[in-house]
Amino acid sequence: MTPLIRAEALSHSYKTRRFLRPNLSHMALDGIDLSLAAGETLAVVGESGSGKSTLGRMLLGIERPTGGRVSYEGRDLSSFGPAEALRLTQDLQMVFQNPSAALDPRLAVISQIAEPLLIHKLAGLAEARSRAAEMMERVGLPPPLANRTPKLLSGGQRQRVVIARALMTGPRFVVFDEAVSALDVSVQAQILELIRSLRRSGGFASLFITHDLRVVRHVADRVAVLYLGRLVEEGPARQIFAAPGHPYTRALLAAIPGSPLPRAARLHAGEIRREVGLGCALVSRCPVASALCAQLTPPLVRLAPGRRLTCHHPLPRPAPRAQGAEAATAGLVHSVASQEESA
Amino acid sequence: MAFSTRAFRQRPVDPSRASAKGQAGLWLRAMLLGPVTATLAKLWLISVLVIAIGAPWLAPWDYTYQQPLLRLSPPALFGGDSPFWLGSDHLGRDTLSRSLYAMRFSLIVAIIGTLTGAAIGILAGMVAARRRGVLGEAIMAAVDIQASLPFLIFAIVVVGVFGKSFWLIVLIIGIAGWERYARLVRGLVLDAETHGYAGALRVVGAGTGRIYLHHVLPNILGVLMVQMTLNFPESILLETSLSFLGLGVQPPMTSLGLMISESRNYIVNAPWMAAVPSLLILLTTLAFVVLGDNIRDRVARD
Amino acid sequence: MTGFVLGRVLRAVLTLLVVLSLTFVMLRMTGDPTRMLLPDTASDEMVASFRAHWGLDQPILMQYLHYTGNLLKGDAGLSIANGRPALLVATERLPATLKLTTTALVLMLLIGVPAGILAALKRGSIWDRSVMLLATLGFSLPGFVVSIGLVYLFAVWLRWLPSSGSASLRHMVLPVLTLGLAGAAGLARYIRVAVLDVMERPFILAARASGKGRAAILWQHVLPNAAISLVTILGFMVAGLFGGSIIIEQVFGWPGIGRLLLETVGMRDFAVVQMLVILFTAIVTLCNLTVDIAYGILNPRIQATAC
Repeated sequence: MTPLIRAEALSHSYKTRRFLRPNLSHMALDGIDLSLAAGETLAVVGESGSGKSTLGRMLLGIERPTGGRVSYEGRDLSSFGPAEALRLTQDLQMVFQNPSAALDPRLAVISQIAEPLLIHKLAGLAEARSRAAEMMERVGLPPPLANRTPKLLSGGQRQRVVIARALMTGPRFVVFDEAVSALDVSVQAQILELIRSLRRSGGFASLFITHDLRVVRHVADRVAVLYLGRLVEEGPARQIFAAPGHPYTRALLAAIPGSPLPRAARLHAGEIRREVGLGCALVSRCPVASALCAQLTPPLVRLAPGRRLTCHHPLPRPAPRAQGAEAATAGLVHSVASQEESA
Repeated sequence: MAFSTRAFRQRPVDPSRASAKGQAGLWLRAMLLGPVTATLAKLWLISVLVIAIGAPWLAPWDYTYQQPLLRLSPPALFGGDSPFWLGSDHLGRDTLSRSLYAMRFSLIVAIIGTLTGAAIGILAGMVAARRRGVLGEAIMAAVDIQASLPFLIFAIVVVGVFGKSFWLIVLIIGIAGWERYARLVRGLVLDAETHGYAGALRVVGAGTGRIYLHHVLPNILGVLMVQMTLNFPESILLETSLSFLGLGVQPPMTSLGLMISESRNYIVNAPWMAAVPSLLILLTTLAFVVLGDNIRDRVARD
Repeated sequence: MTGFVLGRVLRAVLTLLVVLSLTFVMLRMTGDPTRMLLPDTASDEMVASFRAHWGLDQPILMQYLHYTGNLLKGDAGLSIANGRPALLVATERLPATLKLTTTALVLMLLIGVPAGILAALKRGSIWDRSVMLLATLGFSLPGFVVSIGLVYLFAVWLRWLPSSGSASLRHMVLPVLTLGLAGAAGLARYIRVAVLDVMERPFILAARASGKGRAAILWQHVLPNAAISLVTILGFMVAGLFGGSIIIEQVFGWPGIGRLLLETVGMRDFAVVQMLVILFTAIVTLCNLTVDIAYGILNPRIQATAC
């Protein structure tokens, strides 16, 4: 079966042009392989600068990769002509981190939700508005808000507008780029719940980009962890939370406030290596790094189907104590979520 | 540094302190910078607009009508013995009527010129923001070059080479101002593209034309209006300067700059010939500057 | 820093080149000057030999290269009016303009900077309002209106000063006053805002909180920082002075390059016009370049970001 979206050896480097000096180039993403089946949700986790947003933009064809390729239903995105690319925006959509910036501050929200139908000429003005009104109901926006401008809406309501607009053309793949991180904690859970229910009813695949593992636990089928543009670990969400194989993943889990993981699991406050050359990129910050890590880049190892890892010293299989930690972490996530929902 | 004491406290003007110095002081303060000046400025600009539209009906005389026997008559308004409220010029033409027509002409040229500049600048700014390659760089280089040089020189050369015509003057005034709009619009569009709604709309599939016309333009209209308020007095100054140098409108048509130019030889005997158009220029540009300052302050406060 | 300076120099050269090319094309667009220069009775052979002599029979690109090449050798063609080298005609009027503008620049700085600082430091006071009223008035008036007002006041009414000419130092007073005051008005408005802006920045608050004296804050923090923004506006101010000098020279009969430009444009003496445009551009660009480099030295941040 062909996956819906597939990235092969995907790379992206930024060039900084300098006057009368050699240009600098910086690898934002380096040889990423990923694939998503229809209806599946993959979370991409990483710190800022890990290249996760670039990855999302390249999967949608907004940014062109400088190496490797992205294919949609088996077809290379770069082979789409202008008209086909426009057609493609009906299928591939995006929800942004900052809903205030993603909306026209001056226009009534219903017009903005209806706009994709008009752009793609899928409906006339009247029909587009009535379908936008239906969509508002689906995303939980009360009808009286229809003619307000985004300024008069709360942050959560604005993000619902952005989600509504993204779903108007019935997309098959949606990238959520830090879709809840700009929102108040109390609103985050509501929006996450909305996304989960929309996904069940709408049947779209999604890529959930975030730096916050708590968010991931709630929505993702699978998790991919990026560090400085490289994939360090990938696997089913349950396994990643229960038994992180990579010290970096474990460190991210340990960084969740209230985590039962020991302090020793956290990263050292070392310098972040920007030039990824020989050796593991994490070596200066890793709690389990050895001499080998500084010499040799660890290869990507397939542990099990859908379970990949890049580390010379993968963490041992979960001991009973670690399992306790997993349960505690999971419990923490759920308790936070339920608090949010009650608030 | 005796005077530094109060400055660092940065206290807003306190009317009660002013009233302690007496009512006159309070009035003076309010008149000099208070909102009263802005109101006066608006009132004056409305009358200017009335003059520009209604000059043919308001003027007591035909502005080209010469009465050789009544040359250089002093203004009747100040005790002169003549049929002219504001005196007559060296050809016996009514200063008031000529001023009204001059005002009308100067204003029309400045308005169309400002709008032309805004149109060119908006278009160039959008192109520069969208096409960041050679074309965009070339536009921004042109902006930088023009901003760094005295434009009057080029205006003089262009008029000298191509001759004097209404539309050439309008175009020159437009070109004098385009670079500010271009810079402004480019910045605003880039902001909307990289951190704002324009980039988001592209993801939904909206094309450049739709985004810029339906979304960006309405959103930046307010800023553009402020810029036009600031640009307009400059347009008037350029038009009057050119016509003062004899490079603007040609007789028998008239403009404020041309009237002042004509008055120069009669400044001893007929100072009103210079005074009336000078006052009109002063009041009009002053009103715009006051209004521009006022709007800018209000925008800065928001 | 070297890269920064080099970039600015390249930009200055580009500016000159663009202006040169633009005026060249514009002046040639009005057609072949041959017919205008030769009498109507000139024979075809005369016309042909004249055109060959001036290189007018060549394509415009060749003419352009020829002109630019000659210009680099210091030859800007001949004036139609009197047959003298355009370069000489233009440059011999330059000192008068430089005398006018530099004196006006000094006057502008001497009045505008203290007035702006005073208005900012005594913000809201009657001082501030008076300075701002005068500055706004001066800023709103075209130079020729101010000059006529001053002529009326000092030459006609008080009879203290001559109204036009350039014979003595007394003749310089009114032109310099007009030009300098107009510049000072804009400068005072700008300086006031710049000083107020600096005084609202956090590090001034921090300095005050640390108990530093007010005079010390003013001299060590406020004024040096305001000086940086003065430098940024200075280039524009100089451009404005040269633009304004054209009108002032015309009003007061001052024999500088501004007045020469108006004369030669009227006579369609294009070789001189072209030379004058280049001269104006070169002077202003040189001033801008100096200011840019001064700014780069004063403000170390720019070195890292520029280019």
